[in-house]
Amino acid sequence: MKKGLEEINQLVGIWGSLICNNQGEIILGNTPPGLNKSALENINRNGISMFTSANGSMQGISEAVLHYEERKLFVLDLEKVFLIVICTPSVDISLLRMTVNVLLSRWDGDQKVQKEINKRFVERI
Amino acid sequence: MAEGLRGNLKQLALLDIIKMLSSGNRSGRLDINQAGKSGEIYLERGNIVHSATGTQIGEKGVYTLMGWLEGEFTFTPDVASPDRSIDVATEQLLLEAARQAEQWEDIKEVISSTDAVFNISPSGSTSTISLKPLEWQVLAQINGERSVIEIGEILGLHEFEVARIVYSLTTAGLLNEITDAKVIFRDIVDETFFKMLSEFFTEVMGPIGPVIIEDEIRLLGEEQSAFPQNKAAELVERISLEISDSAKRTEFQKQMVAVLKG
Repeated sequence: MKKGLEEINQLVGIWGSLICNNQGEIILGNTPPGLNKSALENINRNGISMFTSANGSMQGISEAVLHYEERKLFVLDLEKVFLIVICTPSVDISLLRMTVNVLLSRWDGDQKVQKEINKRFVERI
Repeated sequence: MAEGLRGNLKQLALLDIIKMLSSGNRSGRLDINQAGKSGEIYLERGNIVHSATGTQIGEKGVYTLMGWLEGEFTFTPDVASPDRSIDVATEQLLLEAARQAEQWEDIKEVISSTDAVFNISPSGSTSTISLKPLEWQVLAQINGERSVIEIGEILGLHEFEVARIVYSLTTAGLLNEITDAKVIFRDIVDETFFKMLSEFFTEVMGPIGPVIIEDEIRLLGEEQSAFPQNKAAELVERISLEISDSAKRTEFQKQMVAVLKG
């Protein structure tokens, strides 16, 4: 999983990426040093609550690009965990989306990754 | 879910689309895409409550998007806004947008687009000119390479504000637009990209592959012979969505991501 986040971070316009559980707590992060962990987890919770607070009206939507101050947040609902990518405005969202899609298909077939994800599952906030 | 709405800004101006949605008390998200850039406007019962494009959020976002004369829009009804960045009444917002749109018309007589690049006129003005601090800041950024939009990003200004200043400096005889600058500075994808794209896509889709590629290039408002680098990933993604088998689609994306990353 760590290698996957590194792959994402290599794209132009990516500031950092992380995996968090359904309550926003960071499981694995590849973000620039100096970023405040609790602020980051707060951002995660805001992103996650967007998926859960709309009383099911967003059912079927698993991806969102949120604008957060001068950053873009690419939030992907992986059901048991969330993948969050922090981007600068110059990010190529299409390239990011395809890179993530390829990565997820690899994770789908990786038992070690699936075991790790299952282990980290908690109910949604 | 209620039926959405999509189209091209060339056919229907953004101001008119919003007026229509607003008068119909519609709620949802309006996505606008133009040349690799994107933005969104959220409406709640006909009122604009949030907008964002790049670093421009709120009212600034709306005014920036109103300046886009080309591109595609999609309205998805009943999508809740993730944020509330606009407190101003929608009527007031649309009034200001209409005023700016009128000014844009004048500006566009002098500035071909917000991608336009200017240099300082060697002959200068024939009369004495006094500059306000903001005008001086914009003038100081003119170097024959930076576009109006890039200067806005550097100075943290809305592109309309920069365009308005560049317009007044140009009409005062201080600046000249460099014609063909867009072509000179725009990165174009090389032949290998299209060769690989066509080869991989035809492998999955058969002989219809190149036809779909041509269609998508045209829908993006581009030509294969001068296709901009910053739209290459968008083109690949759009094309990949034509592949119904998800495993094959992912494999195609994997191959093309490798090409895009070089």
